Amino acid sequence: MEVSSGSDYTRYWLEYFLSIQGHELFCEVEESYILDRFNLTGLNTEVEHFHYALQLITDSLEEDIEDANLRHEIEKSAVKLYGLIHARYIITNRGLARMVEKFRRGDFGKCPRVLCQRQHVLPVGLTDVPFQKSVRLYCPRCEDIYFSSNKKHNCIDGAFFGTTFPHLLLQVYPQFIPIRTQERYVPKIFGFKIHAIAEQHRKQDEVYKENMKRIEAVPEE
Amino acid sequence: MSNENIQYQEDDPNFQNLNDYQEEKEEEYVSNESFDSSTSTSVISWITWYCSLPGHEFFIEVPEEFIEDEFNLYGLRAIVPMYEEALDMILDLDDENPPPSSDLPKIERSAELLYGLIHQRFILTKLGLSLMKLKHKEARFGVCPRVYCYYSPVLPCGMTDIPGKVNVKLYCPRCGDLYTPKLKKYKNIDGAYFGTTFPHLFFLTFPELLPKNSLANPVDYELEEKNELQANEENNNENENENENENINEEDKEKNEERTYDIYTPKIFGFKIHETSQSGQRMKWLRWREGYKSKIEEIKTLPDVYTDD
Repeated sequence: MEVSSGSDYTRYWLEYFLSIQGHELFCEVEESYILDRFNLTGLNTEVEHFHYALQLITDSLEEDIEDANLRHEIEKSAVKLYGLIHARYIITNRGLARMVEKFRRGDFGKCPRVLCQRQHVLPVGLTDVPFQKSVRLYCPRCEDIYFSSNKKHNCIDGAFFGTTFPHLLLQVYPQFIPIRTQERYVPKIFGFKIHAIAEQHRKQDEVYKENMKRIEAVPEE
Repeated sequence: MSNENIQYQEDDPNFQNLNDYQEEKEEEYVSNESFDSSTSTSVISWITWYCSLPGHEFFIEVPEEFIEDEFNLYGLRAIVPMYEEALDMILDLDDENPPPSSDLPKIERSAELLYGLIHQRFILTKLGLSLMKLKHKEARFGVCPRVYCYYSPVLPCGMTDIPGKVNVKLYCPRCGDLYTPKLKKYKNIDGAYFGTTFPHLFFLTFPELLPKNSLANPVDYELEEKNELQANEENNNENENENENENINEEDKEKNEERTYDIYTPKIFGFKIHETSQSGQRMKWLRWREGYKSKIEEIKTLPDVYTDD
């Protein structure tokens, strides 16, 4: 762990944090956002050793902490604090702009579903409470969530991205919503459909038609 | 959690190196054969060796009797080049006139193709299906990557029966969808070696292996609730002991926690997105099935406050 003595221009801790394998899901939070106390409201009660952790993130930790246990705890708190700030930052305008760039590049990975044809996915949490569930991937084409194929992602907390992020991103940037088709996989035995599954497919089609009717009934602005 | 662990055991963090490893192993094998063909290394049959290669974990060993029966190979002669030599290689038969060594790579490729096509036919037989059943029981093919399938074991499936077109995919019986395998080593395995029919015939043959609440056999939640209510009432009438009632409550809790299937609902700050919105939910039909009722939504449904006033 590198701890610099107060140089504001290179961000050692953040660089180290983002270079960890699997952390390519995170984006860089602007320093001005972290330093604005308003953005950290409520986090001091949630994160232990809040002040040390904040100093560590901003590379302004001046005291040398000799106690190894305490140092370890502060490092852990710093990760948690950065994650929670990250969850707030990525749903701001600037954060969304950074994340959409990563989404376009495909930094978050691709949908494992065959018919989604390697649609780029977005990270999503199942809960906003930290240390409950790890991060999952949301595919905007099939509107479903998947486990990441990268094992490293299973150690990243879902609350560091939040439940809201991918959906807000698609609301702000509707041009990234993929065209959703009625394509589906039809299981066949020697070319023949399976009765039980075909029956369910027919019922799914009914749900689809009803849904489209409701959507079309609303006059466009 | 236990399923998750099983899955990770398969994950080799160094799977990118496996291709190199495979080449090394092949070289080792070739050199062993050429130098000391009489020692124990040559006892391993071609089929056993082929199925033990990294990335070939999905294959099962086709018994030699099946391959020796000409009837089972009908029509393959037209598809596979150097058919005779490839068949000899698979069955480890020594030819009196060994083919020139320059042809060896070609024959190896043909043998792979021939074995794949025989494998496609074999896994549809009774013996093949039951051998695959053993692998499926240990979840050796992995689990569904979809979160709300709750680690349902998957089966390998092809998208076409013609070799050399599409690599192998995984079929999840719970959501009835196809997924790409997550490990890179499976990306070079041809899907035709498993065929389009296999997973579906598998579940028709062993309907008891269909997971609870699968697409072919969905649970009707409303009907189940009614049954549960009835059963509870009967139980309550029968047992008036408080202790036993507590036990029942615990069982109920376990039942509620044992979720088998769900549909994801996108939410912004806890609010659903309206379906007429551009980013609204349009694909719910894809995961929908008869009698579906979201257990997640059910928990969060609040009583209507305004009707009481």
